[in-house]
Amino acid sequence: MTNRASRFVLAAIVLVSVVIGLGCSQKPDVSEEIRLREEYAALEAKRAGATEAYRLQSTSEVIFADGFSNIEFDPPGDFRNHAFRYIGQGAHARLRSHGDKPMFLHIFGWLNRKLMQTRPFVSATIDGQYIGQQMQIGDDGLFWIDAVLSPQMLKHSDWVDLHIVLSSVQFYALEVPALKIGVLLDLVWSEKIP
Amino acid sequence: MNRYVARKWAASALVVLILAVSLVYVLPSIERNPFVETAVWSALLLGSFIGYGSTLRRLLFSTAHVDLGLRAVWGASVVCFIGGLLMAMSLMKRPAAFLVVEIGVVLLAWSAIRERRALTNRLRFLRHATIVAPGIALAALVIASLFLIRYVGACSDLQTHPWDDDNAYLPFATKILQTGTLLEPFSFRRLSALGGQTLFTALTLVRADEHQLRVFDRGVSLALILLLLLGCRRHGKRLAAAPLLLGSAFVVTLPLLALNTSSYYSGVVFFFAIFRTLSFLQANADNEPSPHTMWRSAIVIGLVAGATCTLRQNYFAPVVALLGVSFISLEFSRKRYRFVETSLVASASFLTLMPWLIVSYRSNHTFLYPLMAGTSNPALALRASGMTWVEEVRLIVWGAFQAGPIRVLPLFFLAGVLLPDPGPRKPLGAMIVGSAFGYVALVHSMTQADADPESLSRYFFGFTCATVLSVLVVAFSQRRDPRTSDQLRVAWVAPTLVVAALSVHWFASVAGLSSGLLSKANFFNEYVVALRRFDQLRQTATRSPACTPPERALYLRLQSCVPAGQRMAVLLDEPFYFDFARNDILNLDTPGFSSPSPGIPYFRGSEVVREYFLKQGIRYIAFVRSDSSRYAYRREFWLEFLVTDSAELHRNEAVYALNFIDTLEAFAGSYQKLFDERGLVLVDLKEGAP
Repeated sequence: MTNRASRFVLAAIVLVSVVIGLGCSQKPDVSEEIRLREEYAALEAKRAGATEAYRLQSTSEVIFADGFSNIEFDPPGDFRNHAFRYIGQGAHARLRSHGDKPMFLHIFGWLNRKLMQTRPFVSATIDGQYIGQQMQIGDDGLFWIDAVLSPQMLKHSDWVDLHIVLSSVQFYALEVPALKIGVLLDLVWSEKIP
Repeated sequence: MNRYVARKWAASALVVLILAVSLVYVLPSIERNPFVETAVWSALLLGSFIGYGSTLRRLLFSTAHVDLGLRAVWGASVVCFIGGLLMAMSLMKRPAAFLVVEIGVVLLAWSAIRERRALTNRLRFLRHATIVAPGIALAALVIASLFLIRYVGACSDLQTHPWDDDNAYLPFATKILQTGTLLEPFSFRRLSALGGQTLFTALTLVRADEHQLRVFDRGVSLALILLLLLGCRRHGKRLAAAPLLLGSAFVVTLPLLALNTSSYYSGVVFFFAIFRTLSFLQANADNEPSPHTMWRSAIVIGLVAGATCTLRQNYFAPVVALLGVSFISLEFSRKRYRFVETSLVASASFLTLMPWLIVSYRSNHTFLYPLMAGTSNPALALRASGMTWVEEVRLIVWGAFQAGPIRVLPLFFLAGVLLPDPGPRKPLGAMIVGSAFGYVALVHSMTQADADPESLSRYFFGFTCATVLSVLVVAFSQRRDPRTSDQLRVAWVAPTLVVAALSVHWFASVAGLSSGLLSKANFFNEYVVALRRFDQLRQTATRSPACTPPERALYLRLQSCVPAGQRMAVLLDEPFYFDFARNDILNLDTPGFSSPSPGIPYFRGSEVVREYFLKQGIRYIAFVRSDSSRYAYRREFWLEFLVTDSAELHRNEAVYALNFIDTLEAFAGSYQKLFDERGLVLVDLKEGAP
């Protein structure tokens, strides 16, 4: 085959690739379908009696990342039972920004102080900025953080990073779920501000 | 006939006799033991590949030595191309499948006759080697026995996967043989692969039960890997026995990763064949390259590369990177030759893929998913929402060390990097870079797999395992040249690393140190299970109507309620029982992922979905009720996914599945049920309920 012929072949391949490339459709707006999907999912979870688990499940609004265990149940074996996620020394979740709308964040959990053998406090940050801290964890071990986040904290990005940090954790070599010092029982991320 | 002539013809006569007896046994439509029938047919399929490959060798490289393994994979690539052409024209039906295999077997017989001297010499060599080195012969016998147990286990394995096989891959293979092609616009499993693997399983299905289709990947492909390994030559000589035994032992002791009938070992076969082909060309065809001879090299590379891409969509990236690196490093006497060969190989690969792209467009309106969306649903993305690049890097590193049956992949890759890779095509370097690129591209495009890295490993096993085999071959076949300064590195460091990696791999495998699916998969278990399955099937009666599961009659009764020729959509556990030639049956196996434009309107009520189906010319819908589904369409199953599964993809998929199950139940309540038995329902969307 001559050099000219091989160039022709290459040009033909490039042309076909361009045609395929042009055939690649632009991604349409799917936000309405995702909104309907999330509504349907919440409804299904409610109908199934699994609302507790669904509130701790990742959705298009909240994504539970490292530092959280998978959802576990008490007693185990049925997703309709009490749901929780173990949290480690630091737990990371991603929250979807709603642009210029303020958002309400509620975090509720429990620490096993007997196991920890310390008196820890719980902090929460959004993109590194403190949004709340519970200094004294009572003997019952319960903790909660409520915060209203201004649009200025959120609108710079589609997603913001939430970090929940437990102080005074001495079992630093362990990760969840082997590390069973604390659990997250509820997390609310909503435009509705109580 | 004197003794000399008898000796000269004995080996080829024996091969021809075995092929003839096998064909006579397996071709007539009579009742046979299912195990023996499938074992013989799959062996003939393998022989047919060798037949096509031998013919290709005679046409392109008549003077060069090409081993059985390389011939077989070249032949399989030819079959893949022919199959694609036939599927593009809707002609790949059962008679065509018979013909394709039979022609290959005849070509093999013809080749055995033509190459009788070489065949006799090879047998003599084996006899001589056995006498000279009985210890090695014994070790080879042990490995051969282990392989045979695996092959037998694959032929007698009736455990198909209810998630992927029963509702999709098995009906796909059946549909090819009955309709000549594979058009499934509602199936994501169809959308996300061009279909080469389905074609190979369909060729197996000609003389196998639907549930025996693992035989292609676990049996035929395993045989092909071993043949490729045993045929390895470096610097024009056979490899020493030790690396061959080590490599073969590595292959036959791999824990079985194959969850379903899609491509696992076949991926290893074709990627390793690309390495072998580049090495072969380097040794045989690159001495005096010219544009007039390069087309031969281009044809074999293009055929094998094209066939590889048809197996799984994610094989495109490593193939392109692998060949790209090889061509960039090409060192021919004239610079423009590199450009000429690259153009020729690109053309050959494109031509090999062309029929498959056409079938894909006919089925899902895309030439290449995901570059071209086609019938896919853009609301269901494969990439995780909001994942940061640091997390992605962490997933890449973690997956490389933790996922898959080869737990020490980075060690093998490190050994490969240390090895010299002389010659113009750099096959080893190309394999390493191609695999690494393919792996990173895979993780990048499927970050949702962060919750399920074992699943991810099923997609990269093919090319990474082939790279490990390539490293193994090169590590133990280096020339020790005292003039080179890297003597230590070549002679000791890389082979030592490989031996260390193999030791750790085997220890992890025996001790069951893997996680997830593989935790129960060590090679001792595999052999015990394979023999048990064989014993079960050995006792089975001949394949006859009496052995047919009652479900087949149930599904056919349902189908008989639909007028012949009418289109029907189905969401069923085992649609492979249907007669696809009688009706245009479209599989709804993955609700949410794929549907022709404007797409199924989920979450908007059943009436708009009904209108959508009627506009698509679908009047009849068959489905299995949630409380009767064996596996994939149970409401409770999807509810559990919705609230407990940590993979974003599965959570979202669950919502679509639940909505679709509810929609179908609503159809059954509002429209006429033509069939309702054992949980299988057929609804006529044009007739209201009485």
